[in-house]
Amino acid sequence: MAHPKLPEWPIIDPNNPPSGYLEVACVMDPELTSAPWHFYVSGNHLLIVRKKWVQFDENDPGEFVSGQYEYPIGAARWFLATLDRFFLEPDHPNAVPRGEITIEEDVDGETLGVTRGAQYGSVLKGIPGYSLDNLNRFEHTSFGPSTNWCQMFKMGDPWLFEHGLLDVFKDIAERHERGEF
Amino acid sequence: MSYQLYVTGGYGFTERVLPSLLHPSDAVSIAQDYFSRGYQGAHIEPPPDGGYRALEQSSSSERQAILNALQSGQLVLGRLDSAAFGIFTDRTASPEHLRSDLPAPLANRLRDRWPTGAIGGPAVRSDSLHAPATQNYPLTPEPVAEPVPGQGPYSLTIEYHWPDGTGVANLPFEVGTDLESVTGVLDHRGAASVEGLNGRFATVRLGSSATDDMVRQERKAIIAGLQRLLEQERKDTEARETVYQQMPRYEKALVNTGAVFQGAYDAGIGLFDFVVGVSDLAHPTKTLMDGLKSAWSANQDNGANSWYESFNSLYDDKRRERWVRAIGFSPSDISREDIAKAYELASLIMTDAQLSAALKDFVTDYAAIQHHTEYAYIGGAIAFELVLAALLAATTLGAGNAAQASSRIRHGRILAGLGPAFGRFAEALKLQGLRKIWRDFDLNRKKRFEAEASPRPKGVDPDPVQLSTRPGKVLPRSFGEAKKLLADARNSIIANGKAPSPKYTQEQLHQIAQEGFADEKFIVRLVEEPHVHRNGPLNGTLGKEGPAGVQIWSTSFDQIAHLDTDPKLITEAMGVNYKPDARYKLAIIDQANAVKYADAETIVPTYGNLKKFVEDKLPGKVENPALTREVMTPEYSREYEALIKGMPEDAWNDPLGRARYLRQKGLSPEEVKAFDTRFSIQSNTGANEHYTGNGLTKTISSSADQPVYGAVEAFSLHKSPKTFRQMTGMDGGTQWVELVDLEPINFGA
Repeated sequence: MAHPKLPEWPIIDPNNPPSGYLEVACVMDPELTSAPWHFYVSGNHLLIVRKKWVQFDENDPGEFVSGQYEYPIGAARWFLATLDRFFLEPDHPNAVPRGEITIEEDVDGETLGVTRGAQYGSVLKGIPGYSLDNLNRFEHTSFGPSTNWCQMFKMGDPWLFEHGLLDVFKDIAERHERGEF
Repeated sequence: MSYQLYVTGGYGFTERVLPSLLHPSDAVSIAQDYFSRGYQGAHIEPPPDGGYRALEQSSSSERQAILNALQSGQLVLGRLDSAAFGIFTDRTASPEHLRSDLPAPLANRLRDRWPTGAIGGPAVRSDSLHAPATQNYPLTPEPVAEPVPGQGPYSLTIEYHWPDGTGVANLPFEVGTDLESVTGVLDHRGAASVEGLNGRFATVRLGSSATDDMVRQERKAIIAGLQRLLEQERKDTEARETVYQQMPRYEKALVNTGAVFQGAYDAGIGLFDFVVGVSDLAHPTKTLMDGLKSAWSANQDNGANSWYESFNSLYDDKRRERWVRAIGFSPSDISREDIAKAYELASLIMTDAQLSAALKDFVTDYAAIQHHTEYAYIGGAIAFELVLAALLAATTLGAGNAAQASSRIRHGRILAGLGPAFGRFAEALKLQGLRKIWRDFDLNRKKRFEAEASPRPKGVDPDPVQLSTRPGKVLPRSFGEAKKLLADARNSIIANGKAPSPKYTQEQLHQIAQEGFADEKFIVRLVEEPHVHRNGPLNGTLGKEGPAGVQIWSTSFDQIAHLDTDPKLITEAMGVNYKPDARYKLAIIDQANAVKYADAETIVPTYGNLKKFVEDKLPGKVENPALTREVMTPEYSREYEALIKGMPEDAWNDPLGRARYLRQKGLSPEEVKAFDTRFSIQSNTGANEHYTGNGLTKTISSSADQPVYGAVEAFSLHKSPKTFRQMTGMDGGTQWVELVDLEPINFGA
């Protein structure tokens, strides 16, 4: 069942963010080391944005390309709690139900999801991982939205569990809960 | 001719029937014939005493009881149309002329209480359509002059020929009357003439009943020989495994064991290759066998010599040479006539249901010992080939050397030692098939005994029955059994010195992909060793990580069991480029426990299964579910592969680079949407651009035009990454994964 989509959120320039956008973290995906991901908070939303210079060869003039994901700020805590459910014994009452690979719930008025994927870490290396999904928003880049799949911010297991990404989410959640933003 | 059974001393056993009684040995013979194949125009009436039913309706046990009673003299058989005087030494029915070899119940009854005409009365069973009413025999025997051997008034001629009119030559015959027995051999025209017989009623037998015993004995000897061969092969296999296991590790890796064990294993592996080979309709061996069959069929009715001549003219020499080489002989060893003779004998042998079944079982068991693979059925053609080669070995190398033929022939050596026994059995069978009998014919009415021999047996169809039969699955029940099977397969491969042939045909692989392997306890996955120990000993996870650009899914244990623990063989079967410097491990995964402890999702990744997976598992993520169905097709797979071909690595791996690449390619928004959908499916399941959609991996020898598939794949997704410590039970939990070291086999240059 498709979910109603919200209007596209303008993609910001992480190197020159508009006013009212607070950068709360900047982390590098170990599989995408050409540019980091910037975590911004704006109002009640958490934005994850990345901008990189793309130039395939010397004949290519190149250009900047950006991609962005938007979630209610409560997504950080919800993601941590939901991810834990994937690690419970399968028959635990709070575990992700048997046979399911995604959990979808309403968070601050938007339907979010956490999904297990075979190559979310890297399609090149076949690294599995998890995604944080916003079912009310389409994937989009600076070239515009792709109007079939919802937003799914994909993170490989190593990035999450060995390279500190999980701690970034914890930090954002705690700081938000402390009222820092 | 009609006969009457009597209970000795029972109803109807009167003095009047005594002249009609046959000697018990003849009575048994007649009754046996009657029971086994009927007797044209003849009939046997059951005893007139109560409790007997018509013999046509009797059960096999009742028939056996009648035969036993006739043998012991408790029952007697009388001829209804003439006096046989079968229990007397003279044509006088009196106590003084009783034969001395009568069974005790009959002799005692007659001596102690000679029957009289007053007892009982004539036995009449008027309910039978066949049985004439009992006749009154002359109580006084007709006077007969003392017979002079060879001077009697009766004569007969015999003619026995093949369907083509040529004579059945050199066949022994026997003519017996009440007064004499004459034996001889049919001449080259299949004819004989016997004169001067004294007995008026003659039984003519072509062939000897001794062949029955010979057939039985040789059959028994061959079956026992087959059992011995199997036992020996089992012992040899175990011994070779022991020798190999005792080798130092470095020697195991270095030795070119193919050279060491080649002789011992060649026959078995050759047999396996041969099975696979003849399964291929285009295989030259089958074509050659077809030629043999055709030559045989064209001459099925021919006589003994003309068949060889016709065969020679039809089966040209070039074909002979090719076929002889194909089964492992040297063309100089074997002439066309040798082939013709051996083919005839082998065809005869395969007509014997009991031995044919034993041979097929033998071949199946033999192959299973060699390959630890369950073959449901290998097929008659292979057994036929082995028998044929064994006969040729015995023919060309001499009976005494046949068993030592192993160095010269491949498949035939398996049974070469039994070659002479096969020869004797076939000859006996041939004679048995030629047996013919005319019993108790009145020589006043019939003097010419003429018959046509049955056509030769049909040649064995060279199509192996195994063609449509899938090899049985290897289904270990425990990790220990699985490891033992891999070790066994390894030893077999080492001993043979070459990689095994594929277990399944391409067609069978497609079939398994459709069925899935939920019935199998274990699936396997290839893992490079560094990933096993990533983040500390055994702290790696199953999900991590394949060679760049290649999806490594799992496959079932059955698919790789015959490939043993050689990483090169396994990577080749799984369509993965082998890295000689890498160290691999094989993770054997207990499917049921993977579900129980990790809620693992495992499917065969066909288009249909992956579509269903995305639709069922991720329904809310896509706006247009129909697009998923559109991109999971062979047509879109080609588009996808074309788009990816030439895509810079940065674009492939990085979503931002990919977005720009697609824009540069000038794709419409709908085309971008389709690509993104297909890419998301890859990201979720691993179905990359090489994904075939039929659930099978292409081998590295595949080309775009001619895909060759190696194994049925399994897409498996665990909800959370489990370390090998957890999966192997090292943290105290249940073990559901076993890691096996993979060691390359050095096959030499």
